[in-house]
Amino acid sequence: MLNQIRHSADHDAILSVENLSIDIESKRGVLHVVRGVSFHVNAGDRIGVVGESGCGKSTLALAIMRLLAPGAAPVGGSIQFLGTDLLALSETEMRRLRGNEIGMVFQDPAASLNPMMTAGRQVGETIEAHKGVSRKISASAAVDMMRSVKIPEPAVRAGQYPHQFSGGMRQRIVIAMGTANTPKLIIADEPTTALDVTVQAQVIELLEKMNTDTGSSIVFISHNIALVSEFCSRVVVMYAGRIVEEGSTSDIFSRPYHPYTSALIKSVPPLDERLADGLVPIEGRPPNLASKQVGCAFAARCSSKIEKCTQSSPPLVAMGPRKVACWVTGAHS
Amino acid sequence: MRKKVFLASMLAALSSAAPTFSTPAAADEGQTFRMIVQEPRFMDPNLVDDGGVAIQTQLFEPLAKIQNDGTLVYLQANSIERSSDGLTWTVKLKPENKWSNGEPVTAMDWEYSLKRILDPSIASGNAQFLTEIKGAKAYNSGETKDASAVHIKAVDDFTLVIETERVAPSFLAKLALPYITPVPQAVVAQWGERWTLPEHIVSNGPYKLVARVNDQSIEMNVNSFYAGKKPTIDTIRMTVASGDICEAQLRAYEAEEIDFATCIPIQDIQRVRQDATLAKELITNLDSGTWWVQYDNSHAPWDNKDVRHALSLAIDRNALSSVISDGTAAVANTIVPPGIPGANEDDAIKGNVETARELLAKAGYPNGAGFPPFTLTVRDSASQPIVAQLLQQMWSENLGINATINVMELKAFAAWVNARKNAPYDMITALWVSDYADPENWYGDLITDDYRNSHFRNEDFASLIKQAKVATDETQRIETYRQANKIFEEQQPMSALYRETSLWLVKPYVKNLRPDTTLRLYPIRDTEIVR
Amino acid sequence: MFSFILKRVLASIPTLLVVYTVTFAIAHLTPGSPWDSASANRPMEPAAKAALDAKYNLDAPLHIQYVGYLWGAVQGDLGPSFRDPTQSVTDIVKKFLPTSLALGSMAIALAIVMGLLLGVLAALTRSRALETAILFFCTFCVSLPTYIITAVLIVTLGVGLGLVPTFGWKGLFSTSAIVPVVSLALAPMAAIARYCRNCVLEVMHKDFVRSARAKGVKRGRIIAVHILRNAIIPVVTVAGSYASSVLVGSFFVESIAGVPGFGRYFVLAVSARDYPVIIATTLVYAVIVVLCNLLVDIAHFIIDPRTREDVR
Repeated sequence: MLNQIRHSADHDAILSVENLSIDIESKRGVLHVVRGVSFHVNAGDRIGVVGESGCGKSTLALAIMRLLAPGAAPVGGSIQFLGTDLLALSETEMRRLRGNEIGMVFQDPAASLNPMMTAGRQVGETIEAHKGVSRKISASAAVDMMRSVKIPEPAVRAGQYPHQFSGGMRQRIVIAMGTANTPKLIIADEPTTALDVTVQAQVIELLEKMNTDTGSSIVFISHNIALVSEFCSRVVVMYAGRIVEEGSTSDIFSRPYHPYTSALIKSVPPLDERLADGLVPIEGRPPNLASKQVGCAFAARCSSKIEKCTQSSPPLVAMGPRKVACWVTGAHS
Repeated sequence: MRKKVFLASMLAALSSAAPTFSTPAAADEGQTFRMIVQEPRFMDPNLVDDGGVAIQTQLFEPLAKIQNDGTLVYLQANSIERSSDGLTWTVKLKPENKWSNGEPVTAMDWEYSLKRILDPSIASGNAQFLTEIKGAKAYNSGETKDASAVHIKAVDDFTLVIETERVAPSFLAKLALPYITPVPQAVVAQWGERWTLPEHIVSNGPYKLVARVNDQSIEMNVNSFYAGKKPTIDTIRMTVASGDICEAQLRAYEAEEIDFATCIPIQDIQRVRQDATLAKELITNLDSGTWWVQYDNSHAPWDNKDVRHALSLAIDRNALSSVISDGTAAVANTIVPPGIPGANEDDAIKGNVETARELLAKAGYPNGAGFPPFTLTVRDSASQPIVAQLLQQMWSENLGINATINVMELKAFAAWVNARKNAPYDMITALWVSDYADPENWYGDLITDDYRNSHFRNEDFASLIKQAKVATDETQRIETYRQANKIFEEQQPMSALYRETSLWLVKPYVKNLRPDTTLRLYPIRDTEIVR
Repeated sequence: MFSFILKRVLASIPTLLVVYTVTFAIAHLTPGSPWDSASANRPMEPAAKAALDAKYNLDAPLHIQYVGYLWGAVQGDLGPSFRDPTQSVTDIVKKFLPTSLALGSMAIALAIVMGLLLGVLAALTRSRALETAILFFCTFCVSLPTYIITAVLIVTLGVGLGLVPTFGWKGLFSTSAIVPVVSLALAPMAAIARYCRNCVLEVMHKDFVRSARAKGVKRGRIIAVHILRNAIIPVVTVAGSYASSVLVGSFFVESIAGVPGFGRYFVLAVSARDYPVIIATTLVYAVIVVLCNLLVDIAHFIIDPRTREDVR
């Protein structure tokens, strides 16, 4: 098993994030929202990034798209896409990648769609921006795209405005919009948060189909570890800007190493469970990202912490096919 | 499509304004005189009873005029004779007089026009100049509807006979007023109120109206049928302004857009007087008019003469003039201005601030103690709010009494003053400008008829004025007014403040433009442009 | 759409009735009658006053006058002008309103174009100095009273440079229109610019703009198609509210620059207590406000698809 693990230098990696750190300048000082994050996405991978809100997962996604809000910027590390350092590209070069090679599916479809533009146009715009086709062609391509995300009567619906769609339909448009050019990498940031369970499942199914049909790799960002477990083959667990655990979904789910991962699993109901019995919310709040962290960031909320946890920060170390950053459960000699 | 409709309606709005684009055709053939005027309230000369008469005198000509030096100059009349009993006035018209349509101006036109002025249904403010005519009062007040009861008669085409109720020496001055002009009976009959529109109007003066856009412009050309001295200026182009026309005039004058300005804004007087060029173009003329502060003589404390004297003596009139006119206004110590027979500045009450304090103490208010609070009401003109503040300050500092100032919008003020006939008040500032240079215009109309509601009652004064009104001997008449003036000033029902000076700016190439008659008219007929 | 407009027009009737009632009351309650002259040397004889009152029906009880005038107005007869009996009020409206409308349309068009340009520039420029300069200029224009702007423009351009006449009106397409158009346009322009900048900045940070960027849409297209189209909706409302006040003309600008317009005429009518003109001009003003609001709604209808649902 050990030998089968692929390493960072693997040539078929689509995306390699190396030691990435991101700071946000805010009124309360500099926030270190992402600290030294490294992970890799291979062709066809479905990788889940999980963590509570504020753990840095969405910032990470925007950093890959180079769409960080003003004031937020990478301060270290690199993001390689197909061997190219995205952080070194010009804005024009980056623009050519967005929506074309790397597609993004945003959360909150109501806000992510331009209220003044028809659904068809918004999908078609992705195609037009990169393929240099006429509006007519992009329009019919948009209808096809809408059909493929299972929007009924796509030709009619293409001429309608976002407010005329239901939440689930809007999310499909957002997906169609982000993936219209069959990008090699799809970053889906909480694509199902606003949706009810049935619709959630349909959207997941859609993403799954996209992954199998086109071979696009998917980075699936969610606070819902159960959802991630359904969909992803590998999971990256983030806490306070760091990766605390990484491994295959089945491993992590059956035997989480990091106390935070365990807590996360206990706090979320499995997808097919109707009863929300036995859920244990995680006590406490994530730490203040502005202050310099001494020791493990989770220590304050951790039930199994030892003295060392509050003194120095545990590194992310390999444990078999997995990685974990914990003084207690990690393999530290 | 919808956008196009919107655009189209915008365009329609733009193009509908197109008719106003046309500018009057440049009259390069002759000389053009350019000025800015206020929109006249009336274009009908029988109705014009205010400053608009300066515009009207270009178009309509009266029987005669009394010049600044007091001499009578005949205009439409050849002669005006008074019968030996003093009651009948015979006016001989110049037979060569023509309307601007070529028709002769007849005695019938004059009879018609004078009766029209008296007709209550047209409500002319000029009726009051003609009320001495026999039967006029009854007709004007509506007592009789019969115009033939008014003793104005055209005895032939060019002779008009007018009878007065009683002997009225000042009637000649009234007949010579620029407010008393004829209108063409036939044209008025044909068009009714719309006869004053440029396409209908016919006039008897040196100019005729050729174009008028309300609130925008008035244009006049020479009346080729005019029989008097022909004007050398062919066209008068007046631009109409509203609001502070002095400011508009000064700006346009300095930008060489007009040839003549009739006033200067208070804040610019000093600059104009110090400017080398403008100072040379400045023509000053002391007005025959007075601003005063007036007490309601009907109640306390104003019915106490000592109080009135005290308040008058506590005023620094030089300071007033200097603040509101850069010193161009003349200090007024008496109400009736010099130049009006009977007036004499020596009749002014004597004393100083010290005397004022003593008088106030004598009246029972030592150092102002116990003096009731009072209100000084003034109109919202350029000068009067400032005058009110200065008076308030002077009385407070010199006498220790405190006035409240009430500033009223012009028309509201006029209505309010008119309504004071039967309602008490404290004090106002007021102005009277000579309509004609005869004492009766002041002692009779203003004071005895009490147009400003001072509620001044004095039997000695009243009987003197009554005598003077009918006096046929001129020396005796003026002596009677002299006596009346002494009583009037001693009684001090109102305290004179200052007399304005007209400040004209006239371009150097404009010759012979001088303030004419007591009304400061500007007859452009007499003016020439010499470049 | 048609039924929407019809509904709005019908809904404006009570508004106009209230405007009429209030104006009628204020006009008749204001001290001073049409016949009290502020400039004549002496007051009018009571008999003459009574004759004029009778002629213009002012001796009738107020409620009779109220109904009588309204009845006439409904039939299109706005009555005679007291100030100038040679003209009917309808003539006056026809004569003076187009000038103000033309002037106002020009001014508001200038204000919208320049305001949008400046606003977008201020929002999108990367030069802090330019942004500050634009914002300062706008604050300056908004806070400066219009009559001062007019006077300063006349003194500098007219008296100083001799480029424009200091006074008078020779039509919209003449130099005499420059000062009034600019004076009228500056304040709305500044307001629109500031509003536009704020809206652009707000829209710029909306999620859908980020979505568009994530699609790889070019910056120019994002600004034109995504940002401006959304930012313009509130700007239209602001522009509409300014339009109604600018279209009927400004007394100060028209008086100082000598434009024979509706705004100036209204104030002259008020000072002359010319009741029919006061009432008619106020009603016309109200109608223009109603129309401007309607235009704003129609503009929203065209621009914003979300409003079309409610309209149907």
